[in-house]
Amino acid sequence: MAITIQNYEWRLTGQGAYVATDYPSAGNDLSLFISPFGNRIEIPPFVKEDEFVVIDKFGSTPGVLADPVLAAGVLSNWIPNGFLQIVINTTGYYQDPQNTWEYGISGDAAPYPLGLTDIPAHYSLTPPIYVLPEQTWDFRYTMMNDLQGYAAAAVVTSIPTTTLIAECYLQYYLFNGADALICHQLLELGIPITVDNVEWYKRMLLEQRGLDTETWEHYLKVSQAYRDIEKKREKYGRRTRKA
Amino acid sequence: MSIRRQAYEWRNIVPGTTTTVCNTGHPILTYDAAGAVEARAIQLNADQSIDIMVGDIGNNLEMPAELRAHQFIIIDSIGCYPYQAGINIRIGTTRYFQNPDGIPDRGMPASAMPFQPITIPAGRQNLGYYDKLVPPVYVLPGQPWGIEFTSWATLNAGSPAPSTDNDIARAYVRYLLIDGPDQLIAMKLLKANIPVSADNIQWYKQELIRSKIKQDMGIKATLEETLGDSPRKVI
Repeated sequence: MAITIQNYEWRLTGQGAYVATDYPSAGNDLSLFISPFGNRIEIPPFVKEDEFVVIDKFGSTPGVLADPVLAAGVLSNWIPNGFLQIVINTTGYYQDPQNTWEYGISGDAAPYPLGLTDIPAHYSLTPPIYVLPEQTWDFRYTMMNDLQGYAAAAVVTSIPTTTLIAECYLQYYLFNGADALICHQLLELGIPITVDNVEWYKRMLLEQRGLDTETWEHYLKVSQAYRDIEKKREKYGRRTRKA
Repeated sequence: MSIRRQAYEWRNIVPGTTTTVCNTGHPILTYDAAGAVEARAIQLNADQSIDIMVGDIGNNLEMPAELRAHQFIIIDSIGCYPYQAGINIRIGTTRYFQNPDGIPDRGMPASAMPFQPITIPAGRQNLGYYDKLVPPVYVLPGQPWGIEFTSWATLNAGSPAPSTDNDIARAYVRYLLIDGPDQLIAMKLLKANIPVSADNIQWYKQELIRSKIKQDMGIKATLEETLGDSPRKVI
């Protein structure tokens, strides 16, 4: 039983002596978790029966033009011009205005990392994405600058490990055990799943220890209590129902 | 049934030496041996509006944006670059931003709502930054919509190959895509003059659940009252 905030950083760096197949080809998406490029994990993300995941934010390397820096066949700088798409089971979260799959959000819209002089990210994942038990989820990254083509044209012989080619970051809340069950209860009541709301619901349960929580009266009480807490939040400016 | 945060980004960069448009979204960019991009930043004429989705310049879609019967969109942020440009929202044939005389204008200037490259030009780092349209713009089911980019000076004259990100014009729109039953709720809120937002849709769902519980409790109470202590019959 726990609520934890988790993160995952994916980095693709040079591999030393240049071999084309060590790097992804442009225009093809790759999984941040299980592709052969960069750091990876053994098993694709899968939400277990006693878990609940809320994806909160993400970002990737900003920039459009590759801006390659090459000296004596050694590539020391490359900008990927990348986009991030989120996939739940087989469904892509981002679709373009003609309702077809798109590459996702660019590094310029959701940059990572953010420097001191950078403007705030234009894109924010609000509302967040819920990943329910038994669902798989993935982040797919697509680089649109053709590294392999450039390496062949410019005769790149080496990309040192100090050359960072692309970087992505994602952050999510992981609820498990009893907290995951509470997430389901909140979902049924139409209450947003946040750390605050799960904690609050637990306090409600503790207050009613010994009572049957499956009765309608209980749901009505919870619903009323949530209205009250919302009013308090609005009063103190934590959130509003304004558009 | 979902509420999803979407974004669409446009750039006037296209590979090759002849074409001006890439209809399959953002193009793959290739580089020559000297590291120069083999692409052009397409010329944008002064005071000529470009539809960023089907304007035949830069990355485009195959068809204009139009909402399906089960969709509802809330546009709450736009932005563009460079600073000699503005961006307007078009719904049907109506432009959202207009001059005080009622004539549509270039729209929100890039200096007010910039969508800047990461290599921000010197002196612009602390630019006044507004990232939200308040109130947001609703696009209703069945309505066609688009975003128009207009510069008041000719940009990228002669369609040169860009040498830095600052040479590439860009536009951006962020919106909430509401579909399925959530779209029905959005329409209910609209009819009731309640602002349509993710929070308010959630609130309306809570109200529906509350009403259903109350209704069920009422039925239960009425049943108990009607039956009272009368003996049950077995049929």
